[in-house]
Amino acid sequence: METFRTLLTRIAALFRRQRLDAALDEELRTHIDLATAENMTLGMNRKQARTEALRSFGGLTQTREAYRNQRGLPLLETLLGDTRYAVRQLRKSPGFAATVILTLALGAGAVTAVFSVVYTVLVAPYAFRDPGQLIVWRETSKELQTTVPLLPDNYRHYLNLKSRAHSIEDAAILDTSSFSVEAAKDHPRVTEGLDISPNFFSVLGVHPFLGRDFTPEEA
Amino acid sequence: MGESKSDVLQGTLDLMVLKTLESMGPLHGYGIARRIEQVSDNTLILNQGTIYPALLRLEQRGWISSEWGTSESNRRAKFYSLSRLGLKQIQEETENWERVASTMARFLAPNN
Repeated sequence: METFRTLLTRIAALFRRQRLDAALDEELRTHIDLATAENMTLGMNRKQARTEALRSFGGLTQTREAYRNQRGLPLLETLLGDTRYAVRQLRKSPGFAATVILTLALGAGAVTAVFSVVYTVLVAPYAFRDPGQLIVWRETSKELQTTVPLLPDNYRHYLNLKSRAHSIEDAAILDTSSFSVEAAKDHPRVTEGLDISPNFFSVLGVHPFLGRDFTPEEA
Repeated sequence: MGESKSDVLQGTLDLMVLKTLESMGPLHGYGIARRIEQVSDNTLILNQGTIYPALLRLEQRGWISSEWGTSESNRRAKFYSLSRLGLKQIQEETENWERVASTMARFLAPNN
């Protein structure tokens, strides 16, 4: 509560700096005058009295500084001051400013471009349902490990796995392939693709935007 | 050789100011500083200027309030007075101080 109240008055003070500075100056002047007057009643002359008053006060400038630090948000004020100074300096030398701004802009642009590629290619998870639950199994055999580390998948093994393994929800099998596609009357083209089992899409948990995917009966 | 003086302990100035306003009523900064010096019988090293950031801090916390008025010598001066919250704060800090002081007294007792 107190902290909140303090923060509010500090923020409010930011907008009335000049008036508050003037008020503080008047307050401090009053202080020195009152002290001088009291010292004079003790028999000092005006000059001695004022010197003594300033001595017991102990530093007008330090007091003003400490007071301002207590009053506003010193961190923010310093930051604003620095920013203003930087802008002024940049204005003074537009060529340098242009170079700096261009360099920063190119740098930021390049980093953004590289990051967006790296993110989508390497970091972002696949848009499948529960990508963390998805595993790819390949077959291998001890005897062939050095010459043919990965064997072509055996369809019977797949069927066996699909029906017997209880630790997996479902399994699909696929093989890379290429197809000849003829759009309209154009020349046929060879397109890369996959041979898949009909449940391939449901295993990945993705659905086509339009229509439906394959049913087991269609295989 | 003058008599020995101590620095104002961190945090004690606030309570001294509050207590001064409680016993003296509304007072300007110079009056508060002089009063503290007199009550402490000049055994404290108090730069009178340090009173002003302290006054501001107390005002920000709502323990005192300030108002411009006219001093005894017809000068415009800012007068500070204790608020209800400040009165409560005095009680709390007094208890706090008494606890600390009695603890220290036990440590400093000759037969400890």
